[in-house]
Amino acid sequence: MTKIRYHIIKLDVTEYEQVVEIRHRLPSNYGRCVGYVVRHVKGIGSDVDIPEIGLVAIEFNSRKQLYVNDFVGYEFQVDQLPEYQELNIPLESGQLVTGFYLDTQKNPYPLIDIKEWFRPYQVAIYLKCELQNSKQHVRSSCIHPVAAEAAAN
Amino acid sequence: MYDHLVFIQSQLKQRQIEPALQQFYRIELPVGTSHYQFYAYNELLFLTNAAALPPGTLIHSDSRTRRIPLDAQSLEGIEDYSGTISVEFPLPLEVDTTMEFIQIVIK
Repeated sequence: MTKIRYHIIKLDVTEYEQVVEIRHRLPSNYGRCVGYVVRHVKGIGSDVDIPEIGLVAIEFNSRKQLYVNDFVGYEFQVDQLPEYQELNIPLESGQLVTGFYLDTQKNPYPLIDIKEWFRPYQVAIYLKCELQNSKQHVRSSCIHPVAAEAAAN
Repeated sequence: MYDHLVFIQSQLKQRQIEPALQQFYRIELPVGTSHYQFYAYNELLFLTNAAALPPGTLIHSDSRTRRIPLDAQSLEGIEDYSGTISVEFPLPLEVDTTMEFIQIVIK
């Protein structure tokens, strides 16, 4: 049976029109990424839905493949959690997930200064990944057998 | 000081990208331009003169987005953009501005 792990990458947006870089290393025992969701987690306090608050791009395997270009919206009331968008990306062990998040919110109150209106918020990328089939996963301690031996003792 | 071309070659090798063509590519933007959009599908454009753009300029592409910082003069690194690329200036340009890229067309 394939084991599934969920991996969360949190992004803090602290400024209007900010570009937040994604540079994240996935655990080396992840073999394949099979789905993703990007959603607002906390911070925005609007009492109406906002169709787009930002754009996200995600690349896998240390910039070898660009796989996700998507927009992120805000829901005032979350009735149902969004389903994972399907992916099928073989992951190279220990490589980086990279990309960016760009805040694209429009000021709903043109007469009010942006600094007064903007509130920092958090967006999360949820990755659904399958573990590698191999039973033996490489651990960092294996690189240094002496250290591993000392730890075992 | 590092060599841009050596950096690009090693980037392509690491990302397993085989170039079909490498050349210089320029976009000349006239006074008054506040927004410009162009396309770079199946190619990479490495921006080589970021310091010539006004601080606050937003370069947005499918793969990378960058806002030119105030201390752009001190930047040595070059970055690549691809897909639909849009450039938004904080204010309309007051002088003619040229964006210079090294263009890598991918096989």
